[in-house]
Amino acid sequence: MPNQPSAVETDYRETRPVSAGEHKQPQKQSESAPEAKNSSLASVARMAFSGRVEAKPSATALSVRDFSSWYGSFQALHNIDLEVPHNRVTALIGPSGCGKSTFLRWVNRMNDLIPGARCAGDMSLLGADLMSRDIDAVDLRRRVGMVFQKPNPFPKSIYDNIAFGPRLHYKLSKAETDDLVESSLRAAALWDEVKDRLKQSALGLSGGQQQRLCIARAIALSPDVLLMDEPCSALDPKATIRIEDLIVELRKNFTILIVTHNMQQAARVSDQTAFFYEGKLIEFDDTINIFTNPKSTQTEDYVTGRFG
Amino acid sequence: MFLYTCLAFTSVSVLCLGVLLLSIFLNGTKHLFDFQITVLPHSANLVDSRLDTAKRQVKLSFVEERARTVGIETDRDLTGASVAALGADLLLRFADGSEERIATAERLVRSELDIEARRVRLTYSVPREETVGLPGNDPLEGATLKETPAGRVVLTYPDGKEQVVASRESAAGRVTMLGDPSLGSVGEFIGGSPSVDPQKAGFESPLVGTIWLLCVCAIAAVPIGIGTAVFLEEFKPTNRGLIVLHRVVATNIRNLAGVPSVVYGLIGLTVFARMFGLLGTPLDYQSFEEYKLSDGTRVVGITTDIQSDVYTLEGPFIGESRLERTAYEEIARFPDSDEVIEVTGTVEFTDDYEFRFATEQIGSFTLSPFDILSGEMIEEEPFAPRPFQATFRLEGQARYVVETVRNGRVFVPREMIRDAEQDIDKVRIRNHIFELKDGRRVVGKIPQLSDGTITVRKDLRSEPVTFSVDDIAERPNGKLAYSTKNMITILDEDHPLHIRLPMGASVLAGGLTLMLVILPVVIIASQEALRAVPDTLRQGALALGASKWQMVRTMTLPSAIPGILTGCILAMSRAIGEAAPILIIGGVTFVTFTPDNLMSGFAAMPLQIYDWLRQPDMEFQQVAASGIIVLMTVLLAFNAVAIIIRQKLQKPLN
Repeated sequence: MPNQPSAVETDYRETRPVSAGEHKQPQKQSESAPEAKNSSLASVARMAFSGRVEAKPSATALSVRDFSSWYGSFQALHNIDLEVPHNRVTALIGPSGCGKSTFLRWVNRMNDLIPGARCAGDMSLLGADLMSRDIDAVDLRRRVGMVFQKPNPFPKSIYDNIAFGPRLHYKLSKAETDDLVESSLRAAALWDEVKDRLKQSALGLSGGQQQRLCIARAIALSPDVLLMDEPCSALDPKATIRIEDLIVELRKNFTILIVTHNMQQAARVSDQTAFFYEGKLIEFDDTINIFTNPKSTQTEDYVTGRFG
Repeated sequence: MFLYTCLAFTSVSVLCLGVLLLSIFLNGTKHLFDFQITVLPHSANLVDSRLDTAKRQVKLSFVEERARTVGIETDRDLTGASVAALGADLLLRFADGSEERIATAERLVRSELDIEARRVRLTYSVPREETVGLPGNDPLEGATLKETPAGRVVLTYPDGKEQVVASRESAAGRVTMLGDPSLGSVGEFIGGSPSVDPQKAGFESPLVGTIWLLCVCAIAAVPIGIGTAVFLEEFKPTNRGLIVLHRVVATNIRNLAGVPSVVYGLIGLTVFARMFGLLGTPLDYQSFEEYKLSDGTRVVGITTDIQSDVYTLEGPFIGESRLERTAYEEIARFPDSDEVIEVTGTVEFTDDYEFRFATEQIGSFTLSPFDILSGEMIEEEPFAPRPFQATFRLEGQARYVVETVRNGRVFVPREMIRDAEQDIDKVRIRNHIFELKDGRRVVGKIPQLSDGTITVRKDLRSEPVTFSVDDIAERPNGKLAYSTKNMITILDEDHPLHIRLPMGASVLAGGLTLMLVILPVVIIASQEALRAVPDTLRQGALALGASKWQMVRTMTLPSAIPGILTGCILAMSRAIGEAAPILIIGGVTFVTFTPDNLMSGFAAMPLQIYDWLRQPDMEFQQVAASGIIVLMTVLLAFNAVAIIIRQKLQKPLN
């Protein structure tokens, strides 16, 4: 379905100004009137989702069954079951410490590096069992990119930042590397801003640019899945909007898992939303359902701002 | 209040540092640059000093008092006798009016008759001249010379700068021309060989030895230290047992940083120099001599037997030593190699202030103002010459034992004996007593062999090697040679990377011991530098599919390298000043050679400085200060190199 992603994009762009306008207004009242906030979130979700409902339910990218995880004796995740669809944006929401980041870090096995972290259950990516001993974590991380909460560009030039990953895994000629750097930066909507200073230090970029650089760095390896751990929490609203635009754009080619505390963000960018609470997956559904018609009262409490 | 306290402490420490540096610098430069002070005899009176601006010389004329004692040969009764000068003759006038000539009266200052001892003590004044060269290019026109009450001759340059040209500080009994004005004295010091004369003492072998040591130490310690730090910081185990082990290792490395360096010296001695004795005992690889024969073979071992037809024996005290050729058959008893030199005989002073051994006429040396008979210093009347019976024996390096017939045993400090000092060193090593069949005892060197054979064996079990003296191409040169028994050798000895196990007192063993000393410091500094690298960088690299090693190589290590190198600089600064471990390993202080491969013996700067400071001669204090200046210069040079490397490595990251 080559046309689907572009259709989504067009729809989204059309609704964008409306949604932005709509969610500003109720935000002011949010503290006094959680219901209103909920309704505004729901409308945001509805707006964002309206363009995508035509999209057929796609194949499962990440399939999680009865997955539990521990840090030492502390159980961080309890029996998670989750089906993340292919080329969709899935948001993970929930209060701090509910296990959503832990879950994310199991997907590319970053938790392997934490002493005492262990897990049980199944997690498979496009049919491959991720928790199997046969899986090479290094190779897995090439296929599962990750963007962190705080922009973490390497203290190298912009060019070298992008080329870092590919150089680790492939032998590329100079021309190939140049092409890859350009296409990655273009995909991350950063090319026009940095094309004249590729050899300069990446640390000289603004926070938003740095985060887009990190996204560009991750997608330079063309991963199957892109994990984002609160990618906008350290950024100002303007930079946040650019990143969100980018996420929607990237949805064409990548399966995206995004952890966020900003429920408007979840409503705006995601197709599916999973609500975690105290290490348990409380509810997982289309974003529009989570925000308009949550099945669980805990979810409803959370998205309406009664706690958290 | 707190601020003032801090200020007070800071100023005290700055003051101490300033005083320290100033004293080192003033003392050190004195030796480095004022090389040409002439030491006047204690008993000299300066008559005239003239400045020759054209030749850049100062001519000093002075009169030196010299004393001698003349024994009275006649058996006549001396009661009522007196001494009187008549023209050029000094006469002994007896009570009955008869006279007898005993000495010349020319330049005689005073005479003193000792009836009891039947001798006359005479003091003459002898004119002497000394020329002192003035190095440098400072204009001399208008310069003035003056003598200070303290006995110094001071040259005042037109620009007001003063320089001591001659000094009478030392109680030495001679005039010494110090240094060669044509040579730069700094170069002379740095390029010179060690000497017992403080003015001639050079620093070359310790300087080169230390540079070798530091290179070995850096090459060994930096990679191992960084590697360990990377392992401890970046490859933390996840297994519980390994976590405990990891913690134990990390804690102990921290503790090791506080262990005194002497302890490391012992470890180095056991592990590197001796290798636990697994490859032979220390005796197997120390103090062997090495002969090179003309057919190219090399004989290593202890010289056990020397057969010769003719021995050429040389007197122990150079100066007027003489050679004596003795046939092999004439020798009744050969000396043991460690036999103490002991000569019995009548010793008396002569005109030339020499001791003469009445029995054997062995040689001469000059004794500084010291009364052998009473064992007391003579201040006003130096060189009291009297005939007496005494036994001389060198005890250690520090003093001579003089046993007199009348006064028993007297100790003569070594510094009292000036002229023969350097030669006596050789005497101590090389002279032996040969008893001849005709009853004479001859003190001499190990024979100068004209023909004959030498037998060398490594130990009692091995076959002795005997070869003709004529076959010797090169004699043992004082460097330690090593047996190859039980030893592992890598590469030929001429190769600079020649390695021999066990290592013995070699540059490699010394450098590795210093490595042990600084390794904890390097590891801790590197760990801290690695810890300072933000975790986000590590995660970023890992999330891009870098393996741990790739992450360390491309991300962590380049970011940490400035901090790591700073730690290495500090560690090397510690290594350069370490004397104790080097001392234990077996660094030497009086060598003229510089290392030419990893297995060479070596001298090190801190050790040499320590040795100089131990010397009784106060002038060595200045030499030591000069040594410290050189040490600090080398240290700064090493640090500069490290800083440059650091800057180069830092660049690509910014």
